[in-house]
Amino acid sequence: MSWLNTPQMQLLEKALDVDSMRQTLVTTNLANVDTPGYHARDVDFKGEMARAALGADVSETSPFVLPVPGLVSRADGNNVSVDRESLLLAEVQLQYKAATSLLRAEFAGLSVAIKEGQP
Amino acid sequence: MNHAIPGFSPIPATLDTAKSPAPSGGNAGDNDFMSTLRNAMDQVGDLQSEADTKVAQLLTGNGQDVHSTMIAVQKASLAFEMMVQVRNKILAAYQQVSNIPL
Amino acid sequence: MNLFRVLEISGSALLAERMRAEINAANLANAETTRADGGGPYQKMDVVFGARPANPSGFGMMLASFADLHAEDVRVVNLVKDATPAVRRFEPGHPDADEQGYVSYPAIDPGAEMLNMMGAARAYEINATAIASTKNMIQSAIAILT
Repeated sequence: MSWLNTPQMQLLEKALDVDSMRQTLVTTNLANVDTPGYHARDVDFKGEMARAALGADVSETSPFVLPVPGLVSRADGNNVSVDRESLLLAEVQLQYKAATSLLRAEFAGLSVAIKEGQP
Repeated sequence: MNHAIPGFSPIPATLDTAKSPAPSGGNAGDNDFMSTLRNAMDQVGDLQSEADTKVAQLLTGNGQDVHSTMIAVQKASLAFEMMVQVRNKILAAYQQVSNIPL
Repeated sequence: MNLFRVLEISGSALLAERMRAEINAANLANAETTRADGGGPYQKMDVVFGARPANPSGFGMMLASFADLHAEDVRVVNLVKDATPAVRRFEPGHPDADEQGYVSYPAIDPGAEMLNMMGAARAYEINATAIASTKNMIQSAIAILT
């Protein structure tokens, strides 16, 4: 049923997947802000979305989890930046919300079209 | 194929067997209608069982994403709506045709 | 990537940081304790955090979800007694003084313990914020259905 699987929907679903991945990593980074030797990690978000937009079949095990460049390690070897992670936390949350809202709108639109405007 | 969907009244038998060569009145379109409806019903069944699986996994804490589950449930619901509409159209067309005085 | 699992990660951090704060509070409270259980001055304690290893091997690797591979809980893996020798002060009249008149005090720097506690409090706060954020996302996902 391709009408239930439009390119826009696939892109939005992929955005939700990647945002979830990112939230997992940001949360893990924050949880380990005091763990000696721990290094912050992130997903290559833009790379993931670019691949998805090109139609590549991105399975769960493929997302690139990278160490974060440009961070400074403290005395205990930990390099998590609370500022960076806090910012990402807000960003991911908003992006996720945007994607879910857009999806909901698309589903609502389909529903109206199917019923031809009648309740 | 089993087209029974719980809580949903089946198509009248006479309509279901209207696959024979078109009698007068141009009922040749029945074939397309019926196959559309059958496809819709199969796909609804698939989508609904997929949604059920995901919901079960979500509720038992088996690592299913919340958003994937919600999307699957919503798609199954939309497919069902579509099928209902297709069925209604077919019934309406049949009733129109059967009301033509002969 | 189940967001509920993500909540658990933040939860583990809340627990660990709270333990850390409690240990620091105990150190602070006992900074002047010359007679602890088991004799001798109170010994400063430290927490050691560790990330829970998340590396399934072999077949498990194929079945592992993203969260299994990358979500790392944090936990207190060790509670160590500080081995710094006690600080000795000359107080001949003190009931715990030794033969030379010195009393052994715990080698605790209240300033350092306070800083540590503040660090724990800040980490606790940021992980609580993370929980609120994740909860918000879960609610957004549920809202797809309405």
